[in-house]
Order: sequence, then structure tokens, then C-alpha cells
Amino acid sequence: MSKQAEIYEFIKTLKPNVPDFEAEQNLLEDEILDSVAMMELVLWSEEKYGFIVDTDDLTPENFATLTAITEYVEKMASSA
Amino acid sequence: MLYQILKSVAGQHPGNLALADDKRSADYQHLWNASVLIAERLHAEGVRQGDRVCLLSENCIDSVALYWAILQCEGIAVYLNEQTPAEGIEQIVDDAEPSVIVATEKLAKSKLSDSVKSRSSIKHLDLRTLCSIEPDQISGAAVNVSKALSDARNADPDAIATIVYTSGSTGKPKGVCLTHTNLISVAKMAGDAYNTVPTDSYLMVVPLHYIHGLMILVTMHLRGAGIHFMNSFMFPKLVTKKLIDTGVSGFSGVPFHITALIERGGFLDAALPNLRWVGVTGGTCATERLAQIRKRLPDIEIHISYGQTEASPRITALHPDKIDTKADSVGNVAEGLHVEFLDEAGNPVPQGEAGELVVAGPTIMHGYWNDPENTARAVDEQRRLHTGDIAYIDEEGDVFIRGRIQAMIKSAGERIFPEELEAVLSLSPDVVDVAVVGIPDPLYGQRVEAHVILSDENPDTLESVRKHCLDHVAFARSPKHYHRWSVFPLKANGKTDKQQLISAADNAPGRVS
Repeated sequence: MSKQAEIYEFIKTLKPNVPDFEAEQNLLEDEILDSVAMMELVLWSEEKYGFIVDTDDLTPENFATLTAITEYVEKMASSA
Repeated sequence: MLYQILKSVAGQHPGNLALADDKRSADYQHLWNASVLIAERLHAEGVRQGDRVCLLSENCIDSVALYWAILQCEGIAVYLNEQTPAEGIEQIVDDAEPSVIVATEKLAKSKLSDSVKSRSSIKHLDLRTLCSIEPDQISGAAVNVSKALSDARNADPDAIATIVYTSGSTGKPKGVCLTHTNLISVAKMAGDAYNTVPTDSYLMVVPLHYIHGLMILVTMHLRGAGIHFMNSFMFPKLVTKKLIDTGVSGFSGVPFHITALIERGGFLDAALPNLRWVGVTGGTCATERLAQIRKRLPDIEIHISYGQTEASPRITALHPDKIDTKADSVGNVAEGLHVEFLDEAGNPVPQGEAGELVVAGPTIMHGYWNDPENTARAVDEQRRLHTGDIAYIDEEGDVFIRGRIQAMIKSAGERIFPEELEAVLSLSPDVVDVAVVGIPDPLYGQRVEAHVILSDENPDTLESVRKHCLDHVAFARSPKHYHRWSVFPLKANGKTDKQQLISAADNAPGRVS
């Protein structure tokens, strides 16, 4: 399974009652993620892909869409 | 009355910042004028003394102006939790029976069910439209209340100002009724503790439907101090940046906020010369976290407080000077309150021994809305609130909490009764039996987990159970992990053994996953 599919599946498992979403959809504005869900996602990514999300990287640029999260995770996982 | 104090504050400090969000700011002249003009509109819509008005909005300037406007009408303001699913909101609306619901356009669409929208007894108003006022009216001279509105007032300080909905062990939310006197009293206690003066400002991350947010709102506004709103805690570094940019003198949050700021927000490395105090509420913050703040930011006072919504909420507070030596205490009893510690028979225990903490004073709630039975259980004939917390007091008058009579989970600042989630999960046709537990967690304080016996082994069944729960309960309050069992371990008395559920290995008898 691709990382994008894994992340999508994690979010859907976390919040099964949110509607299906697109890769480019803004998960913050559309309230797919909230502060507790975001922390769950960060902790899960760190454990699953073996890197630490730097304080400066935890930003809307890296976490607002599925595409952005996937790109960030791929970049970090390859350099970990 | 609260609005009389606001009038005097606005008269003394008209140009002081009262509120600021991402887009706008409002000084006290603005806040006062807006609250009067909106109150006249509410009065014209028929809002009278004692009528409930529900507010459904994120924290913003309009929602606070509206709050003050409801009080100007001597109505009862009810902030709704915008994270609650529509079913949960409907339950509260059914209980509060408001005459008006004011919501943002977005939340009216997503959180108000068709059934709520179609009720003939409720007027639905749009927040932006109701609160939209011409700039010259806002910034002009102080507006006076019309004769019609003034004549409609009773000015009874023991009238209910607000209902704060909080979780109950039965699964039915309880409406805690707080009077003008309750809120004025708690604002004095908190304002004295934080040494709040009119030049102060505060960063609010806590929603106003929680009593802590509401207490701070009233505390700051009765002293002419300013409040900045930050509604998202998703990116802790941005919260730190907001603390730097606004230069606020005060900040408070639940332990989850403090931990996230330290671990993910670069808080300890930030230059915060104006920040005088940080408050921790709604749970126990790990002493290591507090020690980290003390070491790196020694000039910041740390205020630990303990309370309950039913006590507006402040019951005790630890003096900041004691943080290094007594961080496991919740501190002295707030001035004006009287506490006792009772044994199971209701008799006071000897000094220093643990008993149920009961408290009396001007901040104790009027009662639960529409619920005399539970009110009588919580507040006795002597007007003492029975907290359900087991605690003791030492020779210096500092209180230590030791446990609860009834199991309660505190997770990310949420007060969750296992029974309420078990009641929700039991409503799912796929759930045969369920036990909800709290597991120690470094981030949340406690993490909510559910142990379930399901009607079949199909993996989709668990998905539908998770979905069922989230349709009724906000994500922050719902179980983060589910464990499947075919049969639960039992105690000698035949009840589910929750300790065994928590400690069971993956291959324990009866455990499926």
C-alpha cells in the first residue's frame, strides 16, 4: 500500500464518520482533523515511519492536505 | 448585575482592548455599544428575563458581544459546544428549550438537525447578521439602554445568567445554572489570584462553552483587561507565535495544551517578556512539565487550580510560590468558600484525613436546569456542593485530591464518565457488552479505551461501532482504541473486572484483538 493510502486509511479509521475526502482537500478548513486528531496523526506517523516531526515542521503547509502530509512524510522517512 | 459592572468598566476604560480575534479587535466602548444595540434587537425579537438563548459559534468578537447582549436582556446564555455532533446538540436544545438559537451560517448547516430547525418555539438567527452594526454606531458615544429594555429588567443578582452543559454519568448532559452572583464572585477570586489590572491581556485557547473559558472572560471583562482568541491548537508552534506576537500577560489551558506547547510548540525557547502567568486547569499536569517551565522560564507564575463547573468552577488554587515544593497539591481554598471533608455517613473526618470534599459559598451553582433530583444529590440543604472528589487538607490549608467516589476519566481536559460512553455504545445493535476505561497517557493525562463484545467477528462491525460512537460523541471524548473480546473477565460479584481488562495480555482468555 502506498504511504498516501496508509495515511488516508489511518485518518478514516480515526474518524470513520467523516465523509470520504480528496487528496487536495483542506482537512483543516473542512474539519476532518481537529487538535486531538492532529496529535494522533503526528504520533502515529512518527511511530510508523520512524522519524520525529520537528516543531517547525508541524505547520498547515505540511499538514493541511493528504498530498502535503504524504509529501512531508515521504521526505522525512527517506532521510530518517 | 454583570452588565452594570461592564457599564462601569467601559465608562472608566473605553479605549482599552476588550477582544481581538484574527481579523478584528474591539475596545470597551465598542463592546458596550455593541452589547446594547444587539440587546435591543434581541428584545425586539421577544427575548425576555429568563429566556434561554443558545449560541453556536467558535470564539469570536461577535459571540462575546452577543453574550453580553443576552445578559443585558436578563436572558440566560447557553454556549453550545460546536464539536458536539448534531444529535448531542439536539439533546441539549431539548433540555434548555431556548426561545432563540443564534449560530454562524456554517454551524447552523452542519450542527442543527432538521428537527431543531423546524421547531416553531425556536427563532433561528444568524450570528453575523444579528451582530452587524454600523461603524459610527459602534465608535460613537456610549449608547444608553432604551426605556423598553430597561423597564423589562428585574435586576435580581440571583437570577440565572448562564447554563453550562457538562457531561453526566447517565449519558444525559447536565445544565449547570450559574447566577450573576456566582459569576461576579468567581471573577473576583480569579482576578485577585492573577492580579488582573486593566492593562493586562490574555490569550484564550479554551472554548467559551467550558466554564474555565467563561470564567476568564468574565474575570478579564470585569477588570477592563483584554482577551485575544486563538481557536486552533492543531499547530502548537503557531500558539507560541501568537503568545509572542500579542505579548499577552496571561495564558491558561488544560494539561494537554501545556504539554503540546512544551513538546511540540517550542514554548520553552520562546522570548516571552510580557507573559506573567500560566494557568493549568482541568486535570493534573505532570510535575516534570511544571519543573521544565520553572527552570527555563523562572519569572512566569504557574497557577494550578481545582474546581468543578458546579462551583463556577474555582474551589482551590495553589499559590505560585508553592509550585516548587507542593506541585501535587491543588492549594488553598478560595477566599469566601468553606470546605469540609465528609465520611461515607456524611460526618466530618478529623483534620488531615481524607473524605469527600464538600464546599459552600457564593460560587455554588443555583442547580441543574430542569433536574431537581440531581440538584438535590449535588447540593444539600445547607447549600453545600458534594464534589464526589476524595481529598484531604494539610496544616497549611493546602488541599490534596486523592481520588473520586465515582469513576471518571479526564482526557485532554474533558471530563468523561465511563457510564456515559458505555450508554452510547450500548445503543449500537452490534454491541453485546462494553466497558470503557481510562489508561494513563503522557499527552492526554488519560486515554479513553473501549473494550467490547460484538455481535459478530466481521471487521466491518467494529468500524460501524466506531462510527456509531462518533455520531453521538465529539472526537475528543470518544474512545481512541477498541479491544475486542468474546467474553469479559468477571469479578467475584459477577461484574466486569475492568482492572483485568486493562492489564490483560493480547492472548488472554476471551480476548479477540
